[in-house]
This record gives sequence, C-alpha cells and structure tokens, in this order.
Amino acid sequence: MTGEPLKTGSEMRRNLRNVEFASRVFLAIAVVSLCAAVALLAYHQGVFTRTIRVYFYAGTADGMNKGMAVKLVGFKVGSLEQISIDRDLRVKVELRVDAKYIPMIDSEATVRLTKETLIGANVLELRNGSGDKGPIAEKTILRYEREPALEEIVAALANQLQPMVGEVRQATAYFSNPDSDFRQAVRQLNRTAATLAEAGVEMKRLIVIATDRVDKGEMRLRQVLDTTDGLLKEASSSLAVLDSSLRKVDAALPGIATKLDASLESIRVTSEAMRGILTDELPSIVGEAGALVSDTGEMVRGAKRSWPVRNLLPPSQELQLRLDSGGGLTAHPVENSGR
Amino acid sequence: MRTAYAGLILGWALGLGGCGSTPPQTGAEVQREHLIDAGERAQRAVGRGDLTRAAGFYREALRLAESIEDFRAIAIHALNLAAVYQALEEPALADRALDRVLSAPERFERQWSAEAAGRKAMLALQAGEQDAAALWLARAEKGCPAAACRIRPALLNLRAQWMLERGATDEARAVLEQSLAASRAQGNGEEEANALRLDGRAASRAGHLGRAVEQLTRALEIDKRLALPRKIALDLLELGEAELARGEREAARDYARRALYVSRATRSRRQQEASARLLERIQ
Repeated sequence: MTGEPLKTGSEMRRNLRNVEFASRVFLAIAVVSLCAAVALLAYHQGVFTRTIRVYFYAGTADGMNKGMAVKLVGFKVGSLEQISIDRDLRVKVELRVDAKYIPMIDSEATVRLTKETLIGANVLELRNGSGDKGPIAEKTILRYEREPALEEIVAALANQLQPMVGEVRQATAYFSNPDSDFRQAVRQLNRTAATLAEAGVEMKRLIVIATDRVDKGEMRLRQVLDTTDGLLKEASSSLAVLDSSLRKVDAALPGIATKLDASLESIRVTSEAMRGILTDELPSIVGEAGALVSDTGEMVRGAKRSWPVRNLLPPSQELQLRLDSGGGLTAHPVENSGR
Repeated sequence: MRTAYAGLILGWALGLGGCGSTPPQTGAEVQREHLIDAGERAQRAVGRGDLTRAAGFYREALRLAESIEDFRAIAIHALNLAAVYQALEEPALADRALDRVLSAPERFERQWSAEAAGRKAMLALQAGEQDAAALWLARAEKGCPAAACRIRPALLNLRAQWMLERGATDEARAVLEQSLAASRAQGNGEEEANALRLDGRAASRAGHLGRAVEQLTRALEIDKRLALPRKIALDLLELGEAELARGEREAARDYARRALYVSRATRSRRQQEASARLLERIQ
C-alpha cells in the first residue's frame, strides 16, 4: 500500500471542530460588522440624538413633506416629523428639534416655509421672536408664516402693474380726447394767440400810418384813433378769452398733475421691484443654474468612471478631423505618428 | 445558516461598494479628462451637423490645451477648429486657428505643421489664390515626404486640383492616378472619392463626358457609403454639370435639385447658391 495513511476518527473530529470554530469566528465578525454599520447609520440618522417635539398649524400642507429640514440661521436644527389634518381642516405639523438647540429658540419663534435658494428645495426656517417667554419646550406651539412663492411674487407684480397701466391709459385718453378741457383750452389758446398776432401786426401798421400822417389833419387822426380804439377793444376781448382759457387750464392742471404723479409713483414702485429682481434674484438664479450644470457634469463624469459603467462605455480617445481635400469632416483616432 | 447568508450578503455589499467607488484623480488627470470631454462633445456635435456648437467645444478644448501647454492637444484641436470653421465658410477664422500651429512650427511635430499647411493650401484654392496655394502646398509636401505619410493622398488631390485650376488637365490626371493608388493602399475612402471626383471634373474639361459621369457616379457611391453630406452635394453638382454638358437637361435638373436638397440639409450657403445657379442655367 502506498500514499497517505488513513486518518483516524479522532483526527477527523478535531479537524471538523477547527472548521466549525473558524466559521463561527467568521460569522461573528460579519454580525458585528453588520451591527456596527446599522448603529453608524442610526447615529447619522439621529436616532441617538435627544429631541423635543414642537408643533405649528398651517393652512395648507403644500410644499411640506416628512423629513424636510428645519433650520435656524442656516443650521439644520431638526426635521419635520409628521403632518396631519384636524377636524377644522387645519394642517398640524410636528417638528423634532435637536435638544442642544433648545436654548437658542424662543417660544415666540415663527416657523416660515421658504426655499433655500430661489429654485432650491423647501425648508422650514425658525425665526426668533422677542425672547420674553423663554426658550421652547416639549409640545410648544409655534406661529407659522408662509413666504410668498415666485408665482405669487410675479402675480403681485402684475397686480401692481395693472392699475398703473390703467392710469397711464386713462391719462393718455384724457390728453388725446378732443373734447377734454385740456385740449379745448389748448385750442382756444392757439386761436387767441393767432388773433393777438394779427392785432399786433395791425397795430404796428396803424402806428406807422399815424406817425406818418399826424400832420394830415385831426379828422384822419381821429378816424385812425377810432380804428385803434376798436382794435384795442378787440385785443381786450381776446385777452378776456385768453384769460378764461388760462383759467380752464389752471383748473384742469391739478387733476392732470395728480394723475401723472400717481402714474409716476406706480412706475417708480414697479421699476424698484423689477430692479430688485434683476439685481438680487436673477444673478443668483443664473449662478445656481451654472453651479447645477457644473455639478451634474461632475456627477456624470464620476458615474462614467465608476464600475461597472466604465466597462460598458468605449474608452475615451482623442479624435481628429483629418485633412480631407474635398472638405469632408470625418473623425479618426489620433495616431502617435503620422508617418 | 441564516447568519451565514447575512454575512455573505454583507460581504458582497461591501465588495460591490468598493468596486463601484470612483478612484481619486489628480489635478492633471481632471484637466486631461475635461480636455478629452470637450473634444468628444465637439465630435458629437459634428456628427449631428451642429457645426457652430462644435466650433464652441473645440475652442474650449483648445483653451484647455493651451492652459497646460499640451502642444500635441493644441495642434489637434487647432486643426479640428480650422476644419469646422472652413465647413462653416469662415475662412478668416480657419486661417487664424491654423496660425497657432504655423506661427511656431518648432513646438509641434512635423505631421501637424504639414497638415496645417495643407489646409492653408486648401483655403487658398477656395479663395482662388493660386500663388499662395502653391506656396502652402509646397510647404505641406516638404513636411510629408514619405509615401506612407498619412495625408499624402489629400496633398496629391490638392496638387491635382491646383493643376486643374491652372488648366493643366493632363498633368492633373497623372497626379490623380498616384492619388488613387495611394488612397486605396491606405484604405482611405474619403480621398479615393475626392480623386474620382477630380478625375471626373478633369475628364469633363477634356470633353470625355461619358468617363466623367462614370467617375463621378463612383465618387458619389463612396461618399454615400461613408455618409459625407457636403461631398455628396459636391458630387451631385459635378454630375449635374457633366449631364448638362452632355445635353441631358432632365438628368442635369434632377442632379441639381438633389444637390439643392442636400445643401439645404447641411445649411451650406455656398453649395445652395451653386445648386440654384445650376438650376437657373438648366431652365
């Protein structure tokens, strides 16, 4: 007989015990690792953090969801635990606030639903009140405010614009209406000015005649003077008309001025609002959008590099639009040497 | 047993996480990745026929290459940018892109300078500047002396084109024979079609209209197989001219209309005008 000697029963039993021991050790390590991972996850989820419950009531649950962050001056201090509805159709919201932040939040604090950025996620923001009533405690009920959404801002802006446009239209219609006091007064003013000009020319002519012919007799002079008198009367009546026209203009002007003032004020308010949007909000939107695109690009690049995606994609390579005497554009992988 | 399974799953999950993680990158690798990414995006835009966007991506790639003084990448993307500008019918911009390589040729490998000079010659031929074309062509040929030079068939075709422009039809056809042999040896279908097209043009000028149509039809077949729209339009235009010269007005009109449709699809203003002019002559 050649080869290994047959193992005895006791040896085999010992070997089996060793294998059993090794598997138990391996399983114990695996279980401990799993427990540690679960515990770590739970720790990160805040299971071991001491919290208190506070509430607020809202008119609608729109924009709120379970787990959303509760922030105080930009720091996450808790999360939304539960949303329920009561019999009066009020939305009752339960928040979990980290106990270590309790001294920083007073019982008169206001909860505000806002966005982290103009196009970012919704968050609940705590804003402290006067601080007279001390810090929050378990089951404190807080006040709630809702920040106007972008659509509401735009709607408010449109509402602001509407009366302004109406007023401008009204003022324009007033100025362009041929029957309005203003247009009539201007027409009369034009007529009077024309009459005055005519009278002035006539008077000049008569004065020249009077000067030249003063020596031609009293009769002629009187006639001339009579004519002059008539013309002066005419001028006086014209002046009366002018006076009445000016009175009308004077009466109409305060109304017009008030309307113009109101229109200009509306324009000023609207332009202020528009400037606010353009200088404060738009650049931040553009900046955020740029950052978002850049982040997305980085994420896609990261995903492309990770296993198993990297094995599914063709390897990156430099491509060249080789010289084509017919003007074609065909890409070829770049060779190390062209000859 | 259940515990063993749990352990196995945990180990598998940890392993999967480890394999799926992204390896860390150095700054140089990130820069290089951005450079290649811009080049790939440009290439995809060229594939879509969106040449304006492609030019934007190539400009970005060139900027990145210049920021790290990667001369090889600078040459590649300057040449790519020039090719796209030429297709966009912006010769001045194409010239400027090529000057990045030609103004300091000592920094670049010889093949890139030769290719840049070749494209300059092509631009000069398009502009009708025969003398400038001859100078650039000579410089390109000097940088590409060996028979195995990758761009040799293209340079031979440009030389033949230059000769045709000067009326030297027989010499041009002799050069085109060399070009056909070189491009077939390299398996370069693009240049083979270009040589056939030029040969068709030369035959047409020599009055051999039957041969011209035959050569141009072969060029069209190759260009359609390679899906090169601008060159398909060129083939159709040449075929239209040859058929018109043969007195086949109906066939000529058909080719001119097809050239017009293709050039509209590629948004090539120059080819659209050429097609419209040919159609007017046929009417």
